Amino acid sequence: MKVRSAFLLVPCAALITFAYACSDSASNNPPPAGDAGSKADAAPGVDAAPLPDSGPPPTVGPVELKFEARVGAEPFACGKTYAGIGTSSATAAAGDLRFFIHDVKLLRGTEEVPVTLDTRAPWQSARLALLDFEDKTGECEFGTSGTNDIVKGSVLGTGFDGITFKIGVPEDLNHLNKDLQPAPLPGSGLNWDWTNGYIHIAVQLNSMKLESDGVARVPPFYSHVGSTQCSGDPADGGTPGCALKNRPTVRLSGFDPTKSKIVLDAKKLYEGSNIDVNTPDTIPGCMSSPSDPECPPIFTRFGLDFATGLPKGSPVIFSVEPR
Amino acid sequence: MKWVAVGGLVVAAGLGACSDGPSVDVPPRPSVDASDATVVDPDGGDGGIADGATPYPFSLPKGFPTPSVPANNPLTKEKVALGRHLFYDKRLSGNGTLSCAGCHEQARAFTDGRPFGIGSTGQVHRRNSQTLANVAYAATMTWANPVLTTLEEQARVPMFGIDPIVELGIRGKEDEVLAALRAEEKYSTLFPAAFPAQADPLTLDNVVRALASFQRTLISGRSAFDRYRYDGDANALTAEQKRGMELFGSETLECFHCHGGFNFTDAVAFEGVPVERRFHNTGLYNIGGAGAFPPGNQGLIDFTGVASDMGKFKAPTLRNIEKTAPYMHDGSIATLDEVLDHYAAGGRTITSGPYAGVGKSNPFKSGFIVSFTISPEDKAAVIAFLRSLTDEAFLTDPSLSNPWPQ
Repeated sequence: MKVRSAFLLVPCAALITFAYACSDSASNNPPPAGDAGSKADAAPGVDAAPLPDSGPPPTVGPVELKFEARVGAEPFACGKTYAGIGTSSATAAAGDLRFFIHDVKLLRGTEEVPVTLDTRAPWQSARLALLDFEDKTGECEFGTSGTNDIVKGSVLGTGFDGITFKIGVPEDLNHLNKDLQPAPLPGSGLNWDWTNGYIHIAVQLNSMKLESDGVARVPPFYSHVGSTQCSGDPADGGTPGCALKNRPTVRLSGFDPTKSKIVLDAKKLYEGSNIDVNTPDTIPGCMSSPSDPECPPIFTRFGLDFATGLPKGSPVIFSVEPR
Repeated sequence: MKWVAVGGLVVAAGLGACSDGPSVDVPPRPSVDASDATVVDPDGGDGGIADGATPYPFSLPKGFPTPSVPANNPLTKEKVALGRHLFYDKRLSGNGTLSCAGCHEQARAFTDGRPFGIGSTGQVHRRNSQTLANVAYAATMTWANPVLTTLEEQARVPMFGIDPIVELGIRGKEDEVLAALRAEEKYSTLFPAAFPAQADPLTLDNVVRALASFQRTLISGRSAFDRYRYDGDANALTAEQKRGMELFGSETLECFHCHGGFNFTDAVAFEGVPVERRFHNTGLYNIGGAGAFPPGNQGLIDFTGVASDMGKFKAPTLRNIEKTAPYMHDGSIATLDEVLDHYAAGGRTITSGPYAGVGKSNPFKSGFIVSFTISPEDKAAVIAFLRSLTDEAFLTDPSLSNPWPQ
């Protein structure tokens, strides 16, 4: 199977230099007659010509990617509180945990195989999936009642040993007329209207600590990551774009979709933060403002370079565990 | 890692280029229809003026251009009527305590008389509530946001926003708010009348469309100045006001550069005129001498991150300015008299405290903020002219007032 994949890559790799050669190349290597059936089963863009000395051609099959959200060893759940959070070892209640993913690829060695997402309202479109671990109970005040811990799709072949995906809404989908969008954008509750966009990932723990008046709780420690420093509005013909894109790239080895799950540990997100205090005159927690002193340790753990908004390593909050 | 990334690119390019089928990695721009199957409303709105709805005829004052109206939300009398009811309805907030009108009172030209707006949960905004007079012509919405160019986009900010404060507080309470609206008998006719082509029109998207529609009718252009300027009534302005008008338009005071045109602001857009985004630093602060504005409220730079955008805000319309005190983005100047002092000094000097600094020397200040000497009589004349921009008919227009039984 690896041999076959390598063969497929060669002519297409050449295309990076010779952009128009691909179709010629493909037509120079027509599939043998009688192969129509297997071709129909192949993933888009993959020529199904069998190779000598290979086994049966790989087929496209369904794949389910299982996610789990935790705070340390305990499951993330609205209504629960957790001890030992952050540098002050705070006790905190679950507040929010939702994120979009796109550009999902399964890994087989160094090979990356795109996962074609199912269209599955309200959680998935062909381009985008929403993972949602809050159910709007307890202190999860900004959420939605529905939850989703799975991404469904299809992929060519088997035998995967890793996964990569990007967190957030792709830029070309992020700033369109909100009335128009298919699932999972409407109803996600992650609209970030001041940027005409969406929050890529929202994690929130609410410290139980009281303010100095002994009555009010300290504000929630929001962690809202989205693209900032945006310009261009489609409403007046502009092309929207944001200088700080802030879309983490997760890359995990040892992931077999049939045997593994992807774990997000919110406790790890706060290992460099004191969620009991917030710098005056700044947003509680971090809402991606380049001037917010609460943001750098959060961004580091989201796998983002705070200054450039570019991915910087796979976020430490994600890991792979057996299902 | 680098090598792996290149490998991924090869796969992507190969799939996109070698296939007749749809590309997985490189979707077409800018539409969402190619790869996302479920587009509920292909017109992006209510799809035009449906049968049974009545186009809203703008009755524009002389000298006023036609406002731009998004093609996906054509203006109808029914949407305006619905939007007016929603604008004054406290049920359009997460806890049922605040309506749009809570920070935008008609008698104050749709401002609230406070330095800062106060949200439904009691949080205090960092910005002053702006007038909605002639907001149909606003090139950009809010004080310093370059990407909000329509009232539809803007309406979602107070409705759903939690940053910097909860305003109407609907995020997370969408279902409760819709249920509260559904319980109101009047809406059972207002929503279907406004969106007659829709089977279930009581939606938050339609709330947005209706609010934007009502706000487009908040046209103020019947002031004494307008009677003088456009109606040929030479006696509509006093001699003092006429002198103030000349001073206002002089190269000495330079007011008109940012507060020019029919709406007394350079931040206008209308039918046939593309949006120009204009923001200015007027030397209100200069913390530490390096140009800084107070943290958390620094204007356009908060949005763009561009250093030279420090302290830049939109020039508000001066129409009804007499009624919209206190002034500036942070309500930090109480009277028009003090506003003129600020401009005469070429910037505000704060002598002590955390915001101390000489605003006149702010390195990002607009070149039009020049210091000038003005006599008390001339200052009074300028203020008298500014008062001629008050439009009493607008402030008391019954069609813009609270339609609910008091």
